[in-house]
Amino acid sequence: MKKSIGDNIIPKGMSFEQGLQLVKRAGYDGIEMWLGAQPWFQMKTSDAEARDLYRKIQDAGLLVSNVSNSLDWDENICARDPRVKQAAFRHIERQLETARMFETDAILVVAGVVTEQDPYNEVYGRCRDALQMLGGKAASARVKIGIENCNSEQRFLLSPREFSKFLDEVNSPWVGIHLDVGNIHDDGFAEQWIEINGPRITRIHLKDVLKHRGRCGNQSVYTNLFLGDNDWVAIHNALQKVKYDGWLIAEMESRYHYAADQQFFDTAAAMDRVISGRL
Amino acid sequence: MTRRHILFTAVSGPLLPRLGVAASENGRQAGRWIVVDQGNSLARESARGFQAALRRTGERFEISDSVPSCSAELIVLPFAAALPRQQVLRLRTQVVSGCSVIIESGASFASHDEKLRQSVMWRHTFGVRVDLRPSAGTWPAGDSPDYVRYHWPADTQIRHFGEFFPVHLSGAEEIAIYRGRTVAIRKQIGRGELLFLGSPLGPILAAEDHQAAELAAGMIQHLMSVRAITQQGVTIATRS
Repeated sequence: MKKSIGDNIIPKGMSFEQGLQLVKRAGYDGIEMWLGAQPWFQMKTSDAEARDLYRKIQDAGLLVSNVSNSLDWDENICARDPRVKQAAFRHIERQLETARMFETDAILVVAGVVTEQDPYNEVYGRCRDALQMLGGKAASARVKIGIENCNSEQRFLLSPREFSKFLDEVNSPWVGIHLDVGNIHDDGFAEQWIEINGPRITRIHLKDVLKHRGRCGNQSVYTNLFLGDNDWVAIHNALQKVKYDGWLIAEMESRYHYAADQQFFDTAAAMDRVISGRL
Repeated sequence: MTRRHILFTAVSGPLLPRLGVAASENGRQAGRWIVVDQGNSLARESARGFQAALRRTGERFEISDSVPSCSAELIVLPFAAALPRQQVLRLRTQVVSGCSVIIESGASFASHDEKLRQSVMWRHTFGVRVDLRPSAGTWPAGDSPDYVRYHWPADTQIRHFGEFFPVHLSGAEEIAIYRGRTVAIRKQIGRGELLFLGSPLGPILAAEDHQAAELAAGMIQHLMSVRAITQQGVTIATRS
């Protein structure tokens, strides 16, 4: 397994190049590029500029693990408004394009957000239909779409079995699950998500979660590896069971208040322990 | 309407999965007889898992409530309980004469007396010695999930289910371990081959576990290629 971390965690005030150097120094193999999260990688970023970003990544001795986006929360493929839905299609297509430029084979999409106004069944059908369509584009690009499980925030596809059945309905080998082991909270067990969806996992986000605290306003329930309630032995064993050998990507929502760069090193060391099973 | 007529109708209709006939059966003659499964709940659950595995191979199979007396090529005993003497002898005759048998121990959750009966039966019939000591016990509550590690027919990990029962090798080949102990073996007996699973696989198959499905497919494929099963079909024997 290889280690990666998102460019969205590069501390404010650091340039992209400085961030890459930090990522490399901390021992990561690659970087996750977040479309829409940082000034250097936006929808308006041209192809030439994207290629320049990739050159810098290569110069730093890193690979791109995948292309994610921070835009799905406002522009989702489940939107009723056709213009919003179209915008979602555009940024996902841009992810597919840039993934090819960055020579990676996976993107992350948050598909479906259930709200008081957008009911579950409506979101379900619209997401399925949209992903069937996007699956064709992903196949052409030879880049897999990983649907992230943001259980609590999406209020959608809340169990591993339902997620699996949903993917059955999408019925494309180019659409799988980008599993976030920190997003399951007290609604289940990350290791069971791994077991049930094993062959369909495109990438894995690592973070820990304080399962029983719930969200308290803006206070995050997500925390650094080994500080939460995830069973990391079980997660390691389940990864071995399904023979997952792909990217593990750190996604730290809770940031260090001081010495921001230290979080990169600490997280990399913790990821090494998850990979080796020294837990 | 005769039983044969019912079966013939079933192979091309919606009853097909319920009858346990392989999906690719269309146009082929179905099994000769099917008896309603009256097994206990775990045997039934496990049998469902093995049926699903067999169905995936496309091979014809029948469901019985006892070890068949007619010659079979492969017999699967899911969550096998102690069998009446007559059936045990039948099973032995089948194996010696070239039948492949998969026995999944039904000792998990069984009473101590039932475990003993099974243990004596497998030892006397096939020379398979199962360790029933309490130390072989269960997976301690609160422990992280752990897996049975198969290294035949492929390196595969399967969720541990209920109690596990270490099996002594005594001339057999180890095919799986759990916590450092042998829990599954394969053994040549006469002209036949026996796979003895001391840790249940069928319920994991019924739960649609990917690795379990691959493992079972590999086992069945191996047994089929060795025995070249083409004519006789497969019988799942279930016990009440």
